[in-house]
Amino acid sequence: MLPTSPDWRTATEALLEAQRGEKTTDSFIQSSFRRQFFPIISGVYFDEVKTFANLDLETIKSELKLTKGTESRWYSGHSAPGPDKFFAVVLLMLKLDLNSIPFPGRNVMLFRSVRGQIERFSEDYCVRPSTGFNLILFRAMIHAMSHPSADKLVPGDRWTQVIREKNLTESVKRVNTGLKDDHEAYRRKGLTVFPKPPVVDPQTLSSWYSNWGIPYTLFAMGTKDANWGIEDV
Amino acid sequence: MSKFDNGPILDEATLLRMNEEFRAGAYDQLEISPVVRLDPKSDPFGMDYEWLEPSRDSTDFVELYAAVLSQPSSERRRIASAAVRRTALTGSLAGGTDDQVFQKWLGQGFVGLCHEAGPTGVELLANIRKDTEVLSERVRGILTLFRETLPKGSFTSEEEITIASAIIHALKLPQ
Repeated sequence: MLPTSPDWRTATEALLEAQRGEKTTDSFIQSSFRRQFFPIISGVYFDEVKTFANLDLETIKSELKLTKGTESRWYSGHSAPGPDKFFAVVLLMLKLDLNSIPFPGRNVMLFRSVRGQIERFSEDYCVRPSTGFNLILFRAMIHAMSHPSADKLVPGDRWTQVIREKNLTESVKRVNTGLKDDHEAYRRKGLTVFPKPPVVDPQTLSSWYSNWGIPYTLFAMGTKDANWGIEDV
Repeated sequence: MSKFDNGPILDEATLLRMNEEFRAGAYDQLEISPVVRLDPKSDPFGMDYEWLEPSRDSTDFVELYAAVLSQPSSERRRIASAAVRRTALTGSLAGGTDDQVFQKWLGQGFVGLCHEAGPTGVELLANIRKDTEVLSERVRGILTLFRETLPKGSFTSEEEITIASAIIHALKLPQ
């Protein structure tokens, strides 16, 4: 599974229980995560089809006889078009086989879905939601959470300033080393698609922790089950 | 509803000071514990992040579809079904999902696309095609029916496939 820090995990589980009454990770996965993430994946594919076919929502709405409520939920971004809408558009409007649609690579589609889910968690679970999650940030969080220093960087008053400062220093080193290693690994493989990572300073990493620590941990918890599906992509 | 207070983890002055130290190279010689590389086999995302690379490959569907169509017509349904079951079990279709609804719709749609022998349930669609105005509603209705009835076992797998095949084939016919 994705690395998680025990302290971030504790904070996230406490939040889940307080907000949703979900006492276990399993219940979170079953009752919230999957119900939300799968439609998000479907929505990513739907958007790609819409773009490919040069369709506007007005046309789709008319063709699929959507209600105003559905349209409104789509516009607000709070409810992604589900699998039925995806297939309906493909079948009814494009009248194309799926293999005729030039989807981007599955990994691109998958990351868009992951990003959508993590940003949604940020909106749903954080006081000051952030937007604009990206690949570098995701990698940085994975590196950060795989080091023990992440434990003492949960916002709150559990740890003294001195301890936080020491751990943030270590975490900065860990993240920058990890991102540099990633970049080197890509370069050795002859892949140039991954841009040179930025140098992550303490202020930036601090902001990433406070804004993305919980959403990231929620996502990692949601994907903890070895058979949930994403691991074989 | 309680939310997480994602306030700063250190005060602004401390962070600015740390930034200056960082830029001055104070972290360069810092030793930290070795990076633990997870086993890609057990790590869903793989620490090499290969799954995040923009893929130069085609989609899962393209690969599966081409593979199935390369087989004799009489074998396609069986092979397509096996491919769908396999991808359903591993969750490797369309980004991976073991959600029963998404998986079944996707799988049935795929099998339908691969099934060239012609739908045996085309009568079911004949009525639907008569009324194009309500076509989308009907299709969605059938899919909803799948969702609602599948858990109760109202349809056999073969019936599900037949219905999905029928829908898709009928829609592909000239209007």
